[in-house]
Amino acid sequence: MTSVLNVDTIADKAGTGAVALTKQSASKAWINIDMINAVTLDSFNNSSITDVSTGVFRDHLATALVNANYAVTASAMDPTKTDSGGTNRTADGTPSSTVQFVLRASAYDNTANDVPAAAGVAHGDLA
Amino acid sequence: MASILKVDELQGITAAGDITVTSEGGAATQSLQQGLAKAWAFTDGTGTASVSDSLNIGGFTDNGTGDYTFSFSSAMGNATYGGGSAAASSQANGQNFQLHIFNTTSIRTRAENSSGTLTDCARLVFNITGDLA
Repeated sequence: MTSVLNVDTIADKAGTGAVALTKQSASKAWINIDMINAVTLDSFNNSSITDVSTGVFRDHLATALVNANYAVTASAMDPTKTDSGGTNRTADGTPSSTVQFVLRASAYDNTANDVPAAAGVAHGDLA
Repeated sequence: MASILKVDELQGITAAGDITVTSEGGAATQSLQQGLAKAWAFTDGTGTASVSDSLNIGGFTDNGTGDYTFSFSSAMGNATYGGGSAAASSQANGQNFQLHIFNTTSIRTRAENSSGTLTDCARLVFNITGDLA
């Protein structure tokens, strides 16, 4: 028989800390930004975005990380959105503080470009 | 003594798909489900391309040099999910691996060299975050 535990909140036995299930393993924020229209397509733990410049957006986090040493992975979608069209786009994510990270999309010659979908995921410890 | 709870499945009471967990620092709470990767894969794109290890990947199609489609075993709830990707290669050219076309049942990816030309690469990794259907 499969056992199912129905709960709303999981914490450590003291009731205030994280359990081993979540510590370091779950992402703490993610976002998908349409840079062309400067809108958030979907997100988690995001409060707002700032259009810094062409191809550069700042993701403001709703809940802070404990430090600015967290890891961000990113990816950029092809602006032509065709199955076989060349993309020539890349993206990187950089933590700039405990409450925001920067997504930058560029062509391979390092020229910044707005793309219709720039995605990023942050891993680290929440405050 | 550490307490260990052994179960096969966790569900929220208020909403089956939403369980709140306490942060590492203890100052915040956050959704457990939203933080979990919904799919990831490690792929060798050289030779006969293949998926070496994965989560929630039920199918893999080699569309051509550097062009791959991964099908999800469990579909995403929408096509606006997030994710990240990276490539590693011993080749001289820099490698880029990008999530290319987002669908609820699959993700199409492209591996390219520093000139933007599709290329096969030995180590391609990505993760997907968002809502499962």
